[in-house]
Order: sequence, then structure tokens, then C-alpha cells
Amino acid sequence: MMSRRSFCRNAAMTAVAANLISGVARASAPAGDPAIAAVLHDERLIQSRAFSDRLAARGIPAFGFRGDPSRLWLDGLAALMRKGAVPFAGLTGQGALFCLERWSWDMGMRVVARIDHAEAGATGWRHCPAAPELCDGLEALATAGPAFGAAAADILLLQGITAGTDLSHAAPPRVADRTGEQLVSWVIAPARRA
Amino acid sequence: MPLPPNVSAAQWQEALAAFRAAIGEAWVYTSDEDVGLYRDAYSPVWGEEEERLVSAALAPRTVEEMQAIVRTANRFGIPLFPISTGKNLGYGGSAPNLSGSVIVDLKRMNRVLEVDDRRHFAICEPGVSYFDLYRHIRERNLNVWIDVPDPGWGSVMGNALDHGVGHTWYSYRDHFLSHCGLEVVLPNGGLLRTGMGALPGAGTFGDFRYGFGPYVDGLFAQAGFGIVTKMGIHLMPRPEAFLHRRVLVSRRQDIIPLVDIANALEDAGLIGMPLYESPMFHAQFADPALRAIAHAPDVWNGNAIDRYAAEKGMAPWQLGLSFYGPEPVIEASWQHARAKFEKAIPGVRFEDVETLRFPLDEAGEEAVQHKVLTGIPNMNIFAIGARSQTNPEPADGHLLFSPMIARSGEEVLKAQRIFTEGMRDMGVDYPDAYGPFTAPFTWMPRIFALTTGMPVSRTDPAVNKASRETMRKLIELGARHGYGEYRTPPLFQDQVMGTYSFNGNALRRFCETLKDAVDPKGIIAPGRGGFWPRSMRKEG
Repeated sequence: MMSRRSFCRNAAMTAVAANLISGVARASAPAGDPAIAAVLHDERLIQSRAFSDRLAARGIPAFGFRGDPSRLWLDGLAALMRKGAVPFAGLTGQGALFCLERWSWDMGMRVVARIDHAEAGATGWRHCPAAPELCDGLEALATAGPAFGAAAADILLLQGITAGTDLSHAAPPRVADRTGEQLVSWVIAPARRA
Repeated sequence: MPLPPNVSAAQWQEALAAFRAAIGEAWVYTSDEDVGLYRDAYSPVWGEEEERLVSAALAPRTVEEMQAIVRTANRFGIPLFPISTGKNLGYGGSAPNLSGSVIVDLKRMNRVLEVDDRRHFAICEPGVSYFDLYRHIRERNLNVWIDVPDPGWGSVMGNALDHGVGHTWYSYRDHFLSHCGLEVVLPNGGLLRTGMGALPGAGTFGDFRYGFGPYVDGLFAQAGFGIVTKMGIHLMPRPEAFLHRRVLVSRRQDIIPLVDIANALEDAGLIGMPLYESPMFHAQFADPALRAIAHAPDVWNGNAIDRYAAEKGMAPWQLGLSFYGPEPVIEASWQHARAKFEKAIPGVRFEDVETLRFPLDEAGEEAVQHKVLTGIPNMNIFAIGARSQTNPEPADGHLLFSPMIARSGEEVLKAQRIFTEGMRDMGVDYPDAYGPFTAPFTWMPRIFALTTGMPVSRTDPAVNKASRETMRKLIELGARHGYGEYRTPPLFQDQVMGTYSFNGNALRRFCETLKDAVDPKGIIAPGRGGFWPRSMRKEG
């Protein structure tokens, strides 16, 4: 079986990426979880910041953007990933994940875990994990109300990589009475090959 | 994944071996998980029999590798479907017209070959995205701008060849119009250069598009006559300043003088892309009274809208004007425009939206309100587009219907009514459906696109079925009134080409004649543009 390898692109961004690491990372303690190497957050979203803070507290470098992740990805993370693809995670809007997923494909990476979060009119936030392994912490998510970011981070930290399913092209589940923006917690990691 | 049509398993393996020998094993993708990435993310036939799936994907690095691919494909009769970056979302993504085609993914051919900021052009390979070209220019502090579509991740070349569009001056935002010179691998593996590229030693590939003889570049856009491997494109010199001003009118019928004046300003070279909007479009979702007005049968006389506008102080129409150039000049242009609107439209109001002076630093760029108006590539559209709270459920993407209508206010009002009543007759309604607040897009110069988007779903085939049926009916309805589509996904290209039916579909028959001569086996993108080689044509 052939695999879809990374496309070679401008190598000149490495220095930019290094600067980004030193300049934007909100925490860089060395005792971090080795599985997830970076966490992204959308600064507009409280749940996203909470997710990021949780992983940053474990020493995982955190990177922020506002709505549009293109500058963060193209000017920084892509260069790092080109040197060696590593898992990264986030809690973002669906649009940001849609972009990051497709850019990651060109690095030989896939979405391997996701939990969709939708605010439904009468019942509050609804959480839809994409794999059974991600269901263990659902109660914590449910009881967290709108402040579920940290709980989502805990689930993905424990199970996000090992769940390991190729969720390429996955789309958010339908929530008929959804209100507001649909969010998603995710892990993107190097593709596993049979 | 399917095999190419009429190719045996043994022949397929032989062809794959030849492809691997030509471009290297690492760049031939055959596993389902890899090939599946080329599915159209916005497909309205996701998981259904009609979905166009690919058999493999190839990623060549050089023109020579490309030629080897095409020759191999010719030997085995394998249809190829070239993509640049494959981001044609809403119009088919990276999916081909014919299931079993082999994708030729050109992302690795990603060199910016030249940018000249004294003669204002660039020459790029297919894999160069708007982000790439922008970065190239910015890192070298070159004195040129690019014109960008809403999402910046697409290919400069691919967008032009799909008749894609942007947001600045007319001569730059029509991306095919602004292209200048092509290098093309032909269906027989030969190499062609158009324009001045055909003259050995000429240094004017990116300057003069015609060269001598017939202008054949159009054959390589929205069509399968070759695989383009290099393209020149004219660029805009970086202006000193940018003004964005807004004109607001108080009556529905004011769209008529509004358009007339904007046309005169634009065609005289005083403004960039006119940006028409109706503030009532979004307001109708917050106010049931306005929504009821929009749905009332007598809405078309405009009286209820005008009364609502007067009561609420809300404009039925607004127009954004972009001025680029030296600050005193564009300020004078704005004052000239303002006087024209004041004279023609009683009660017209104006707003200052943005004033920028260039160059901007990074923080300044981040702060720009509408980045595409100033040639800054970004992905903000995905925060407001298909996968966001502004879309109805399901929100997995959209299918775009883009009929072209004449550039007048009267035609906007007429087409609005035709398409709105048509959709209501079809029994479909969703937030983006046509209505009295649907505003024209002016991406293409000298024409309006009255575009709407229909929802697509990964989980609900009934939604996709309804959108497909609506699309087909809209194409037919539009054509009956002389409104033709300028761009459409592969699923609808045959139908759209069929509507351009003058003189017994003379246009399609001419394209077929050319296809039969240039690519009789259908090696390059058969079906693209809504015409096929003889061997693949359906009877009748």
C-alpha cells in the first residue's frame, strides 16, 4: 500500500516557526504529555481557552488565533510539522478544524479523535464523541455546563491519540435545535498505516 | 475505489507501475484512505451511486514527470483529472467528472517562478496558493498586490482556470482575464506555450497575452484540453491608500440609480469592486415582522419594505465602494461619487468604513476589516460560511447556483422575483434561499451573479436530494429567462452546457469537435465543461 506523504513546500518558514514557539507559547514546562505536542485555541471562545489552558498546564505549548487559523498554521506550525509531524489538539469552531484538517493532510496527518459540542435550545450543551473510547469522560462534560473546555481536554489527553481512528472528512452531527456556533474538540496526528 | 473505466485489473497494475517509474513510488497514491481525501467535501451526492470517486492520485514535481504521466495514461486509456490545490469547494472540490479518473495533484509544483514589480506580473506553477504568492511578495517587499478570492488556500492558477474571482479592480478580480500566458501539457504528452511563450527567447511571457494567431488560452479553462503547468498573471501595483465608503439608500427602487452610478464609476476606472448588500437580509431573521414582509405576495411592489425602512431607519440596500490610489486622488474620486449619488437619490446616506495607508505592518494587516478588498489572503470565510452558526442545519457545506444577470437595478429586481417565486413553487425555503433581500455579487466585471447556496449534508440524503433537485430546476428556470450559470460542479456541467443551446447547441458541438481532434480518448478531464469525446458521449 502506498501512503500519501508530505508535500514539500517552502522550507524557509522554519525560523518563523521557531520564533513562534518562543514567542507565543504560553507554557513550556518540560514535563508535558509526550503524546500531544501542541495545542491550539481560538481566543474568541472561552471553552477553547480553557481547553488550551488545561493542556498548557501539562507543559504542552499553546498557540492562539482569532477565528482564522491560517497565519498560525502557514507562518509557524506547518514548518514545524514539515520537520516531523507530531500530534496536536484543540477545541475550535468547525470552520477552523475544517481548514487545519486539510492542511494537515498534506503533512501525512489525519483527524484521529473528535468530540463535537453543540448548544441546543432546551437542553444545553450536547457532546458527541466520534469513538467509544472517548465516551468515558462524558459525564464530566455534561456536568460542566458551558465550561466544558477543560473536561474535553482531559478526555482527549487520555484517549485522543490511542483512539486512533481515521476520521478524515468527518462532519459534525446534526443537532436540530442547535443554537450558536458548533464547536469541536479534536486531535490531529500522523496517519497510522495498516 | 473504482478502477478507471474500461481498464482491466492487470492493465491497471501495469499502468501504476509505469506511473511509479515515472514519478517515484512515494507520489503514487492508491490506498482507499489516501485516495478518499480527494472526495468533494461539499458533495451533494456523498456516499451515493452518483458520487464521482477516483481510482488513484499522482503528484508529479516537474513538467517532464507530467508528460510521462500523460503518455502512460494515453497508452492505457486512463482518464486524468488535474487539480492544483483542489479547493474548488461549492463547485466540485477536487472530484472529477468521471468516476475512476486518476487525480493529478499539482501541489508539489509550487514554485513562484518570477514576480516583476516594475512590469507588474507574476509567473507561477499550479501549486502556488494565494498565501504562497502573498508571502513571496511580502518577504521581498515587492511593490505589487495580488487579488484574492475569499479563501486564500486555493491555487492562483487553478482559480483562474475555473473562472474564479476576487475583490479589487475589474481587470484583476476576473482571474482568467488577468492571466497572461500558459504552458500546457497536451493530451498526447506534447508541450505547448501560448502567447509570447510560443516565441523562443521572448522575455514577455507575463506581459503580452496574445502573441500571434488564434487566442487559444480559453480552451484550457473549464475544459479538458490539456494540463496547465505554468501561468503568468498580471498584478496590481501597490496603491498608496485605500478608502472604503458605504452608500445607503432608503427605498427598494433606489437600487436602480445606485447600480447605474456604480456602473459608471467602475467602468470609468474610479472604483474597485462594488459591494452590494441588503441590511434587511440578516435583519429578517431577528424580526419576524420583516420576515413576514419578505414572504408576502405583494412584497415586489416595494411598499412594505419602504415603510419598514422608514420606520426602522434601515436601508433596503447598501453599496460598498473601494478606492485605490494616491490619497488626494481617491478622496477626490470619493467626493465625485458622493455628489453623483446625492444628486440622483433623495435621502441617500454615507458612511466611512475604512481608510488605510500602505504598506501595513502585520498588526495593521490583522486589523483590516475586509481583508480580501486589499488583497490579503485569509480563511475568515470559514468562520462565517459553510460550517458556522449562520448556516441552517445541516451545515456540512453548500452547493452554489450562480446565474449571471445583466448589471442593472431593474434586472436585479426582476431576477429576484423570478428565482424567489420559483423556489417557493418548488417548496424549498432556507435562510439563503432567494428573496427580496438577495443582493447581486459583482465579482465578475460588467455582470452580476445572483448567487445562492443550497445546503448539503453528510448524514441526511434527503437534504442532498432536495438540493440537487432544486439546483436542476433553478438551472432550467434561469435558462428560460436568459440567466446562465458561469460555474458549476461536475454533477451539473452537462445540464448547464445544455442550456447554452443557441443553434442546436452549436457551442457544445464545436467543443466536441475540438475534443475529438485533440483528445479523442478522453485522457484529460473528460466531461469537464459539459462536453465529452465521441467515445464517451451518450446517445442523443
